[in-house]
Amino acid sequence: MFIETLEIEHFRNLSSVHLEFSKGFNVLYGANAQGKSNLLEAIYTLSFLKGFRADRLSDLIEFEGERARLSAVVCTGSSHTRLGVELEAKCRHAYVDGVPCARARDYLGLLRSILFVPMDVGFLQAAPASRRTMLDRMVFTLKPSYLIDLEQYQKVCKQKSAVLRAENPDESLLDVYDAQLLQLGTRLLEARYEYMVLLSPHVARVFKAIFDSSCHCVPVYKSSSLFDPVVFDSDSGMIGLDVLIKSYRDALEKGRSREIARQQIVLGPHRDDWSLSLDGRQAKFFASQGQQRAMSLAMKIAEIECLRVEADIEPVFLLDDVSSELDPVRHKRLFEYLNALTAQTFLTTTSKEHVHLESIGRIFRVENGSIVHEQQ
Amino acid sequence: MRARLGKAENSEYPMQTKALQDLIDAFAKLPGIGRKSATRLAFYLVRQPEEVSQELADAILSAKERIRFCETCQNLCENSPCERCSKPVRDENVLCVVESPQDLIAIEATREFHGRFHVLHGAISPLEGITPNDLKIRELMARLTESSFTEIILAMNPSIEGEATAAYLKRLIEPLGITLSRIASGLPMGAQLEYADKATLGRSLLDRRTL
Ligand SMILES: [Zn+2]
Repeated sequence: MFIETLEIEHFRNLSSVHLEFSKGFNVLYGANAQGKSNLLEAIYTLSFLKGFRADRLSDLIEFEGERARLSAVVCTGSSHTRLGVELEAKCRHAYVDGVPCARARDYLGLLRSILFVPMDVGFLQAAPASRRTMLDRMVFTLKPSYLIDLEQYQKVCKQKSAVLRAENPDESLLDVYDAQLLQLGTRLLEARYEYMVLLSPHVARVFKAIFDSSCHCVPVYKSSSLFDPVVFDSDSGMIGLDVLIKSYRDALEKGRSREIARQQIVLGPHRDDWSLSLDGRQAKFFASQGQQRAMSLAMKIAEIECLRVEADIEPVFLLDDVSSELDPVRHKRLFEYLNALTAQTFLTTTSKEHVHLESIGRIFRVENGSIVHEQQ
Repeated sequence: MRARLGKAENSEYPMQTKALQDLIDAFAKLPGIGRKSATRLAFYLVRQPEEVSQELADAILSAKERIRFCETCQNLCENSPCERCSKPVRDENVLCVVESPQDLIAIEATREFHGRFHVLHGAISPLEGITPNDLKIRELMARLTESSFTEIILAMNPSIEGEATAAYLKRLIEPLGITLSRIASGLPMGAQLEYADKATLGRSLLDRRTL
């Protein structure tokens, strides 16, 4: 799929932008804080009805503005669809060919984009929260309904935390939220587990291909309510999903007094973590610098391959200034790979010189919220 | 020099008088009104003739004075018990519990419901400081012990807060042995009853499931 045209109104610092894109590489260059990433975030928001650097919808709306509007014509095969998103401080509306969508799940999935941000490069050493965000993003790109469950789970967590912070927590209210958390949390665990099962062979294969054919690299899931990590390696026989869910249920049931004492939710999918294992050892501690760099690239390519192979989806790529983080060798590899995919790619950079591409489709100069197509 | 309106996100324009600032603050406290709209309303009012403000102030005060909660259904009314509660209905034994007066009107408009109503005036949301004690739940429980309802329909919104409120009420009402039902999930999650179209809302009432 690819984006033909994009219109933006009052989104972050982009007051009014109307652009036509290339089906191949679109390079956006300019100094920092001029609006390059905002354009990527606009495309991301059209995909997922939320930003990738914003906690609240209001963060996405231009200063002094009441609502932001995004509209894009997306081509999939031979069909053209106009997607629209309207954001207000407390609500969002989605449109398909001008018709409002009553439910987010009717909209999510119409535009699939894969985001690549500098944090993804150093994910092994990053904070668990960033790594969780990265995993959640991978899962909902493949399975959009996961995003709805995730947002609801997070809402319930906030409500329950508010009860725990009260002077005398209302236990029957805690029971109500625990029931909601168990239902939603179980769905999150199922989706993450299923995703890692699909992803694992891709990670192993891509790592062997781009780095070392003798090394075996697979993802690992660390549940906050289970002592042993789940290694997603069919050879070593992983812990079943039922064990994962049961341990979460037990933790919810038994954790009440600890949660009241600490005034916060101690365990659950929002506290889980993941990583990679290299030849049976934790990559975070045992992999060399070179291996870790190769792993971050392998992860990204595996994510793309997983989406292509398992769901037959050709997403658009959003690369937010990754050139600065990726070493030259890995950088070249990534672009060779993306070139071969012939997928639509949006790439931000501070300097055109950082981009070594054989065929750039279009170049845009970004300056102070205006985006201008540069004739080559 | 002219003050640049709306430039400062959190109020305090240097050239603004305290009275104007107080008015903006008062408007901004109202639901659905942001600082920008509050500022616009305040500037509009001070530019209008005094009668406009007088009429508005009178309307607010007299509404506040005359409108009360109905002692039976807790809906807003001028005389308690309200008109609705004073008239006989076809299904005297069925009670529909809603979050707000707007939801009551939406359900009534479907013409699929012919029982009694109870308005909670909100949904449980500790995050916003709304606990069960802030809702008309005590009044609901008192009403249930006095009346002979055979079915209670929990018609909270299909939101996290609405579901939590329904689950909380279920725990309270279950021991009384009254049949409980929840409006069907044909309604989109996150949808608001007051905005749902009549056909969908009517359908979800008919398709209600027993809890
Ligand atoms: Zn009444």
